[in-house]
Amino acid sequence: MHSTRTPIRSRWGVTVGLSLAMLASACGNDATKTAEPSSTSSSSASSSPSAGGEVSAAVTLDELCKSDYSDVKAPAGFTAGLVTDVGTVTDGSFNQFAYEGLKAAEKCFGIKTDFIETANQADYNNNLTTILSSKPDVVISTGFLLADATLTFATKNPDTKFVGIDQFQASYPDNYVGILFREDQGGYLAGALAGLLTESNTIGVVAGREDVPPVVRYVNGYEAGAKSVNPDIQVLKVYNSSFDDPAKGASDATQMLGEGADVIFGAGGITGSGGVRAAAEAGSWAIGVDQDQYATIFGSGSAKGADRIASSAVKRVDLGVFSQIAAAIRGDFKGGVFQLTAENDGITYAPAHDAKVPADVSQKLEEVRKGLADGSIDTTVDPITGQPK
Amino acid sequence: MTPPSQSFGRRSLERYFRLAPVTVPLYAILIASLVGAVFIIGAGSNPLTAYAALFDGALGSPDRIATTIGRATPFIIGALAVVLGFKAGLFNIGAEGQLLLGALAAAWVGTWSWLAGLPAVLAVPVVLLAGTLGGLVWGGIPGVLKAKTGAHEVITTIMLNSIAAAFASYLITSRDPILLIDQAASTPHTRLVADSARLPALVTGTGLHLGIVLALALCVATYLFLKRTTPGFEIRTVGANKDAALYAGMPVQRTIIVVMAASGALAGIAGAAEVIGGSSGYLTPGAFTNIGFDSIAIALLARGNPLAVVPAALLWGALLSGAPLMQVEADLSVNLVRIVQALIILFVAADAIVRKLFRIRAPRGAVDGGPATFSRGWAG
Repeated sequence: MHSTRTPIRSRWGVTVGLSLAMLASACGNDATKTAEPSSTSSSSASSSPSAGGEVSAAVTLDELCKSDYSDVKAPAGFTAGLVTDVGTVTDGSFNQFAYEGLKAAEKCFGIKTDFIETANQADYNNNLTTILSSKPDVVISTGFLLADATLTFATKNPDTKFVGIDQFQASYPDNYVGILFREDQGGYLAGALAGLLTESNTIGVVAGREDVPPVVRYVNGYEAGAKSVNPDIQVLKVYNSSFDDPAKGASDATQMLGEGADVIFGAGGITGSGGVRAAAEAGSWAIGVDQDQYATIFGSGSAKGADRIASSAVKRVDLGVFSQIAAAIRGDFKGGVFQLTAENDGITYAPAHDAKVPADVSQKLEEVRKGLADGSIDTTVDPITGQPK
Repeated sequence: MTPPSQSFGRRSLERYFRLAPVTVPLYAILIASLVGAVFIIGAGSNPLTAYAALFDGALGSPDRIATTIGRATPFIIGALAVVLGFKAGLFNIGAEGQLLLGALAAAWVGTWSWLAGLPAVLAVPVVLLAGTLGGLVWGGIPGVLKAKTGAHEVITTIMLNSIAAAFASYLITSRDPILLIDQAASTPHTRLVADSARLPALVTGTGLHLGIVLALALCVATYLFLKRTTPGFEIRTVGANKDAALYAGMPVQRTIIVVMAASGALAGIAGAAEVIGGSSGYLTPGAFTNIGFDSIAIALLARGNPLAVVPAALLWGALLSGAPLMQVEADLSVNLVRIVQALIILFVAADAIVRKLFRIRAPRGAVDGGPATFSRGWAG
């Protein structure tokens, strides 16, 4: 039972290994993206600023349920099943985010849901087999490591729709959508915020593995975003060999603070979270990643340093899951890449909560987000490789 | 064996003693299930529903039984590796790393182009041999260090596990230079091994492959080796009392090196067989995480008996393969299943609890046929 869900930690479980040969086809597949949340969602969100003066463009799934998706009702017995990557649905990572999207769909569309948490990579096949034994209409699998297994099962079960978070394939069958994200835009938002906040003109980023393209997209987006508002800024970057070493992340952050940095962005799972926590506890600015880490690292205000996390670069895994289930219900589900971007609210930033972010900074950040959303701002980072263009 | 003059109570105790290797684990499972039920109730679910689903998920259909056996296969061989170390009084924590080295060697050799032209009866043994060598080297290092310098195998094997994990991750994921990675794949893994080097599946789509036959054969061979051969006797003597073995003129140092190397070789076979026998035919970083560590638990569950690792590993496989249905039907977290698994090992390893509860007499310290001689202290 998961009635008491306390997000404990966040993890950067997102890794998409792409070879150069596939990059071209990735771009080609862009055209096949489907069921994009309509543009009205972003305008409705920004036209009604949330209470308490919080600046955030994050539209909740509850709101979407009442607006864009109010007419979506599932036929009786419609079932969606989730298989997580190694971890649990309460682990504060994309597993939890996907689960929240599933639960929101259950509530909004009246579907039945099942989920299986993966204990070990060796269980992928058995977990997919088990979730399929109840004949679900949609199967969601989270994490790029499940890409091979998901493709195999999607091919073998053409009547079931498959949704894979962070799963890139050279080609997809008609019943399989891979959800990918523009992390470079998220990094750009974090960088712009850091560049506006810094007083020492030095900022840092504690990153995960350099061989994982989404990490590189975050880091280079961050640097580009910071330089866009502050051309002379110095950006300190450290990549790490793992996503689960908070002590290393904390020591990275402490070193950067010693070098004069006063804003630290953590983009490396729990490793990055260690850096975010260390920076905030030391009284410097911190910026989280993937979800609102004010909740996942700082216990929604209960932990020390909660007033120093200025925001988080958010990728809406929950929105991806929710919208693809809706597409399956409406019958407009189409196989291929579904990319979540600033334009369709899939990439955004978290509210400042307890942090005293100056009003002009918040305003400027929202302008940057709008610029990314309407295409007037380009991150200057390749959206696939993450390398500067 | 039991003189007729003895009381019934005494005789039933004798019977208990002889059955203890069987009854203690069974009682441990029973107690663990009961304690696990408390956790399940605490989590708001019905333990009967949960256990029924666990059973159904593990054994509810022919395919599910095959999945359970397939899942147990690497654990059988891995636990056998640990048991062999136990017999010589060595605590081989390094099965995890040795298994990985075996898997790496198999994943590499399996892609050699000339293998593709060979018939399977030649190609499969070549790849398995590569895996054996990989594990043998990785197990032999701590053996030599122990024999020549006295460095404790627990420390050296733990460190070698870390090195193996990082080494495997580097070899598999590195793109500059390209080493083992399959550049055309969407997730990082090694290139596919040749078709001729694959162990055939026994039941398609379930993960059960011919490796199970190899695993069972290795168990029987190890059992006979330890029981019937002179080196086997030497190993057991070194494990029971190193000083006595030395006094008797046995080659203690050589035995330590050979046992660690052989233990590593077995673990290496476990890894190799999974690479060429699993559903994939390639090695993914992290795919074999914890197989070596769980094998230690299974070796304990089997009470150091090379034949008992088979039922112990099957139980382990059943718990793993039944877990997803238990999650779905009882709405339980995967963590609850892991708690039940750990409880079983806890009660078996701490067998004094079970013996106390069920009044089973402790075994006499017999070398022959008795329970395992587990690892000796830090000074050993």
